[in-house]
Amino acid sequence: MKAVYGWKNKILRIDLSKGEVDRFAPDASLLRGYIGGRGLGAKIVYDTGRVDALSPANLLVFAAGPLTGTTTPASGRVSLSTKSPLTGTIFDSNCGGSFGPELKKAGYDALIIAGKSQDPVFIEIEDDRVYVKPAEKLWGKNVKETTSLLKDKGSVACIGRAGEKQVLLAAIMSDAVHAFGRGGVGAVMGSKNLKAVVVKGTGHVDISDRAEFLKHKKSIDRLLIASPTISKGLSVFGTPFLMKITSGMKILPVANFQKAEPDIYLNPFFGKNIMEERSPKRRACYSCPIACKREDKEGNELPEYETIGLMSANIQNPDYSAVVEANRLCNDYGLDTISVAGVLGCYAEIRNKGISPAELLRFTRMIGEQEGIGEQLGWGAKLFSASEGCPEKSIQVKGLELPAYDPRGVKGLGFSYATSNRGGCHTRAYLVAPEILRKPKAIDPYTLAGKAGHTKIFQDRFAAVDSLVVCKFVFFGVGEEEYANILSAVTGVDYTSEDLMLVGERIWNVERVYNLREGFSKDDDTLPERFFEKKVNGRVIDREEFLKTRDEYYRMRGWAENGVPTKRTLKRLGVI
Amino acid sequence: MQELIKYGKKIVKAGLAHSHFGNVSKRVGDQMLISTTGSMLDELEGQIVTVPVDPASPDELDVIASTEVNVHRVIYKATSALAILHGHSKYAVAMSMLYEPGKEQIVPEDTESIYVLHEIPVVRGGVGSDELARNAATALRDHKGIVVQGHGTFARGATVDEAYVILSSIEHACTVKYLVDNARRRISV
Ligand code: SF4
Repeated sequence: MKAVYGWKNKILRIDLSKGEVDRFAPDASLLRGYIGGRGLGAKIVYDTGRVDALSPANLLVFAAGPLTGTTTPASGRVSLSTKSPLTGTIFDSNCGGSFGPELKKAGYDALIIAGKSQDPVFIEIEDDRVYVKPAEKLWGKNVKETTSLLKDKGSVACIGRAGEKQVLLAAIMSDAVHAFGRGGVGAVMGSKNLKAVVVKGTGHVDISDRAEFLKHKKSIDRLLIASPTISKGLSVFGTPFLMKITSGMKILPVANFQKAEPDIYLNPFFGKNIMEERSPKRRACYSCPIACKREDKEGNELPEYETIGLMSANIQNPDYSAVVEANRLCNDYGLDTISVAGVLGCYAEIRNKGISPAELLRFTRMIGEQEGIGEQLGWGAKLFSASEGCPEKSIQVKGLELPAYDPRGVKGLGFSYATSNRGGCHTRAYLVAPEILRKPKAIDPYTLAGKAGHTKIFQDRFAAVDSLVVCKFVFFGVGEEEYANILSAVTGVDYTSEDLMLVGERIWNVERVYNLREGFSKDDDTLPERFFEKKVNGRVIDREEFLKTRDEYYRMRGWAENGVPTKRTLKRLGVI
Repeated sequence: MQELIKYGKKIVKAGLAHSHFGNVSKRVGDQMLISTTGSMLDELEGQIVTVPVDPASPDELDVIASTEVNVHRVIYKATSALAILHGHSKYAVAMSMLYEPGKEQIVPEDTESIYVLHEIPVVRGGVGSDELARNAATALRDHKGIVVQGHGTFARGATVDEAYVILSSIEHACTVKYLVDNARRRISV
């Protein structure tokens, strides 16, 4: 058999309905053309056809990449693909910790979970040994407790009570603090009666050319140190460094994206202040020199920028400690913090009030427990606002609540929310880098001019990055060229940066076709009305300009006027 | 703020830096106003941030401040400067590259430059590096303007206007010296 480097050339498939476990070697062209992670997951989910998100037919695909398990900088992440019960779109979620490297070391590129168990179970994997075990004793427990009961067996990905109850905002938590967030992926796991997956690997990942690998690793490390965003921002303050910048640019959402000036004092939420007040410890995902994670003295994960941004000014909560506690509660229940904050912003606007620190904690618990109003809030902002008769108050795209950047002041980012395949998300094109942090090259955030092209290129780029699977933050300092080089050294397959861009474009189109098959259309590639109608800080998105940019974007993608990829495009990309 | 915007425009107009290069700052107490990274010097409206002068006090806005922010900090710490301008003017850069290692300064030929600048130290160090910060700050303790070898010029002043005079004088001195050196070489041939 021909030696395989980087990849394991083996996928593990577990059918919980039938109680079957099998392993198969994926087609070489599948790995070559989709790499791994998000790309591999998207193709597998797409090939499954139309399913109901919370039915046994929906899949959970945990997929590592060829770099996972090596010491490539920031390559310790892993991707999860499924159909989202919150958005109805194809969905991938990307998580740190050590679940991905353990999966690889156990000998698998991916783990596919299908079906539904009759009773609660958890999956235990140690190299070749795979067990589906009863989880009655774990069912009903939250994430921290579940993880501490299982962690001796390996890296744990589990749901809390929110996932068990199939709350549409539920996340899957890895090693207790890393989230497969967004899109309600935890509800999919709950719908399968699957409490946890524990994986331990004792193998290693073979590298084709170690000398070249070390050379490129060194060059990536050097570039990471040279990047001011990393060395002066992420490594020093963690992601909360963004608070001062976005509030200064007046793009921090206030009162459910209704205005620019917060009613609360923002200083306690700034990165520097948090450092001075809490002296947090730095923590890193597997093989990451950046170490952007922060934990307090008790070992609790401190909230990231998005959580702080949306749980402060956006709901008019002045108390940073309440955000820390709400973040801890979300992690323990297994809830997505962005969506929880988004739906609370919507609730606050509908009730015409702010959310007090005590309410923030009470509502978070109620969402996790599906109690009282918490049940409706747990549907997400789109369904909640519709049930209240005011759909215009949900700030979401395709059902996914927006992150903490007001699109009126970062128009490319806003355009990327509108065209995102998984709904209102900043990480698809990650235009935070050029529009806010001015890297790799500053672009004007206040205009849509040129943003069709920027959005396409950045979407393709990060679809490839999510397939490697590498943390997006490294791209503040490093280009895809360096990662193409290290990918070639690891796999022995020659990749150029253009190859990576093509892989990204292929993935983007597979996801698009999936969503069209689910009934999404051009009309869904839009933003909440208020961004076209209501000025904030003197800025609004001009609807005509937005529509022109969208037409231009479709043309750049090789899609027809109605946003459907042409046969020619799909053939060129090898999708059909 | 307005002063930095005005002189950013003048620097580009006078050819002392391309629009995309260079940076400007002004000290106000223990804070400084500085242009952002990637900004165009002739379009600085909305592109100036305030960060602490103290190098021991990193700030979140350092991320979007000019990549040379630490060089400015160390210069402010070491000197009485209240404004620093950084340009990339052609003759100054060319002259710094013609100088062999060991020759640590450019000596102007014209009387005006001799009067204003005396001599112009040539220092070394990578863009935004600690080495550059150290070398630039040391040289600027005794001089008003310097050239970083193969890179660009730094000028300091009590006002932005004074720093601008120095920045343009360096280029003037280097232009004259380049022309004179060239002419002498031709004559001697
Ligand atoms: S930069 Fe942060 S999120 Fe990314 S891999 Fe490193 S520690 Fe994890």
